[in-house]
Amino acid sequence: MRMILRRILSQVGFTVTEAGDGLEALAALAELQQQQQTPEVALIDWNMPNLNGLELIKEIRRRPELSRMTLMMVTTEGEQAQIVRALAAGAHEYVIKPFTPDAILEKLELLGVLPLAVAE
Amino acid sequence: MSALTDVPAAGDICQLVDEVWSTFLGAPSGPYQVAAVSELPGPVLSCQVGISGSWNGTLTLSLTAAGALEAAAAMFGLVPDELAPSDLEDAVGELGNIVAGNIKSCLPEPSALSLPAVSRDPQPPAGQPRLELTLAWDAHLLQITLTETTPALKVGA
Repeated sequence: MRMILRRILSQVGFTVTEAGDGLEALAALAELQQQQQTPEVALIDWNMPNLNGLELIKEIRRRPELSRMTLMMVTTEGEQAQIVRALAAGAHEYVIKPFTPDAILEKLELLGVLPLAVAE
Repeated sequence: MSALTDVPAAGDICQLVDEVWSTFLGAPSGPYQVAAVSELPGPVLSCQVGISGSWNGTLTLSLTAAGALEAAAAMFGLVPDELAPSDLEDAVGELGNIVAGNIKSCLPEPSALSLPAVSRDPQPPAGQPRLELTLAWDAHLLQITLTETTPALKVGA
């Protein structure tokens, strides 16, 4: 999945940092922040080892310094109750697999996080 | 006494798999059901995903190694020579995860998925087989099985 998303995002000009689970994601965020960088958007799977996607969203939302990050859940979990839980925890968008590249890019455009050259 | 829940019909699962294959692999024609075979020919990669909650069981998606290679190449936009063995496992795991997630949405809620477990030497999951499908896609066969388990009864207070 990460390879697919990397390809989609790289093609429209994003610089992509990958993480294998929620804990790795938090470590990657900490490392980026040490370099004075905050990612614009995170695409997060629900089902991950160690720290799942819902817990990761909650953890990111607990950190004021990451409050401007746009969070998109990309998952096979399609129950309405789960969608509501993710949105209530702080996800801005929810994409259920399978998806097309266009579906991801349309959501990013709606959220206003596509690189300018593509959004135009 | 146990009451087994209705599981999605074979036709519904075929339609779902067709959508996954066309969306994710760009397959012009998705897998279609063929006469069942007892086991797939040659080396096989299997992905098992547990479903637990209001419905309990395991989804198993099995592809031949050749099918997994073609699926991974399509999924990752690479030629087969560029793929590592782990790429095949990632592709089969992702396909199993998506198929399981979509089947789960047709089962009683709420329930949760386990992480996909990919194996080249899979053991059949415990429980009662509820659905066994053999599908064909290009020159490859794949199998989908759905096995239901009943949660252990609680005895006493």
